[in-house]
Amino acid sequence: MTRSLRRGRRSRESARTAYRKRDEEHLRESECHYRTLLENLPQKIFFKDRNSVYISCNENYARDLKINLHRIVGRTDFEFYPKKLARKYRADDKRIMKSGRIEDIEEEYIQDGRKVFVHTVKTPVRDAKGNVVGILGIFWDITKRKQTEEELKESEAKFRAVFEGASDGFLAADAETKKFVFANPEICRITGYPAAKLLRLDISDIHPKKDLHRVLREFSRQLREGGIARNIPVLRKDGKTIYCDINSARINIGENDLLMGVFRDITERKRMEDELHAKNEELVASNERLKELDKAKTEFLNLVSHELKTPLTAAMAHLDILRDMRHSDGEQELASLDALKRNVDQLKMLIGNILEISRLESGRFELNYSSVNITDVISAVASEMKILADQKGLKLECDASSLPAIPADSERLREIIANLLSNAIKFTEKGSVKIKAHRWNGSVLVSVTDTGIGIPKNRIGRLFDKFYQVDPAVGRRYGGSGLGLWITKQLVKLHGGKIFVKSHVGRGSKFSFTLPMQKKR
Amino acid sequence: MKKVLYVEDNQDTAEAVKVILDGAGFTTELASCGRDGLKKATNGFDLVLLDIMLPDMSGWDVFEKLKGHVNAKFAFLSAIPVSEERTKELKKAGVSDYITKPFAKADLVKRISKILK
Repeated sequence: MTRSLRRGRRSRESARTAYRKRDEEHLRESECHYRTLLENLPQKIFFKDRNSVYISCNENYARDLKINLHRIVGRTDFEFYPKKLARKYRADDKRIMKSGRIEDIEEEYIQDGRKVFVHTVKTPVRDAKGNVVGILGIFWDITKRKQTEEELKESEAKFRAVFEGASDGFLAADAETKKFVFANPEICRITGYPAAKLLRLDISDIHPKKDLHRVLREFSRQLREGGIARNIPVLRKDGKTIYCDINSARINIGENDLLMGVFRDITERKRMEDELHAKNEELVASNERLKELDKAKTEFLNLVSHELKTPLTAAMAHLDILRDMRHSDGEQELASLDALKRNVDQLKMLIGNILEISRLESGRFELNYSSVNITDVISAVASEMKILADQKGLKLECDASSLPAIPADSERLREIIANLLSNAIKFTEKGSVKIKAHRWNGSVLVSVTDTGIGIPKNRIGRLFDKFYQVDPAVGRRYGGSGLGLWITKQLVKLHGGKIFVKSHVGRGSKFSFTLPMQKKR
Repeated sequence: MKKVLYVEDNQDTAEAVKVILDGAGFTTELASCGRDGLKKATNGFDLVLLDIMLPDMSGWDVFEKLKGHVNAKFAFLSAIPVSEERTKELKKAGVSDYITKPFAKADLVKRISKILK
């Protein structure tokens, strides 16, 4: 080997050594950088070999384990953690080394005897040939985040429970578009819409059109000031309208500006209130009617006592005159006896009428039905009345032939006809009184027409009232009680008939009544 | 002889009262309604005796219209009962007596005589 060759080889070797030295220095430097990095990372870092035996760790982790950084080598998790936890760590290590895949694990960890949560990333470590030779672990404390998450989960669960289980309907609408964005099961029950459908609707879809103006006004008011909108009509899916009290508040969730309405179905309450109200009004009305009835009774009693006292006064006065023997005047005696007879008759009639009224009013009045030949009854009453008509020079005409027998109370029928005929004769000074009967619409129509003084239009309405007299002076002169027409009307009604009157002052009156040909059921 | 005007629409009662009062020494004239009473009242009566339920107006109306215009005393003869309190009020208002129907002849004469003494 030549010197020069040897020299050349030497120089190449020294160059190689120099390179190697430099590489080693680089390596040391890089390892130093690497170690500084590891030491200063806030995460905890460790290496384990294939058997989950620690090879090294960073200062941060060693501090946790309360061990000198260099004494970690050769130890296992069983020396630092409860058995159960250590076993779990080892199992994780094995799995990852076997699969060769990196894993993110959220797990329990003991720090200062305190249970905390950590996020661990475990990575299999490979040699130059690619064989898995150990595991690299990095982990950090996530207890705070975990707590916040747990709290959030819990609060969400509570929130959900309140909403889902609420006995009120919760419905949130977008403040601007008024589209629904949230609905709980109760609002679905109230409106009859499934939640998915409800969330495609807006406020105008669940209220009757005619009330929409008011609803929108309330919506705007509640956006401004919240509070309760009462008695809001809600249009259900089935078309029924129900009523709700809606308590609303404006809320912001993320970017969304919402009005959250709490719906309470008050339909039943409202129905009951309305019913109560109606019942109350009914009571008030019936109370009023009772008061009126009571007043009418008092008035009636006053009138009765007055009407009874009038003939009684005259009768007693004339009795006094007769008893007093100083009046030996025969003419006066006769006049007093006549007056006495008249007034006692009047009393008898009044008492009879009053008893009849009380029976009619109490509903205890029963007709004694038989098959009545109405032509005979009319003829009989007319011939009785003829004497009175003759006395006044009045013509009494009768037109009632070939009529069917009808079911009626013949005594009462006689009373009805006698009342009308005697009234007609009483209030007619000249001309005629005519009684006529014929078939009409399944009934017999009986009419009594006179050419008498007539009844003013404004008095006709009260004509059938008890004690009503168109002209009390005329009534008293003729001995009327003001009860006859009321009784007549009641008797006609009992027979199932109707009574009408037509009259012109100065020309006469026409009273008509019907009697059904079939008995009133 | 004291003159009495009796306003009463019931003819039998009116005539009986006339017989009774005339028999007691008064001169009685009759009016059958309020208007008739108002018309006749100006003929110098010492007493106007009024029924209350008259056909055209009430006896009260007749009294109110006549009071202060005629130089007569006033009394009522009516079937309408009134309380003692009301009787006192009426006396204050210038009504000499309030007699209720039906009446006894002797009592009527006694009370009318008392008014016209």
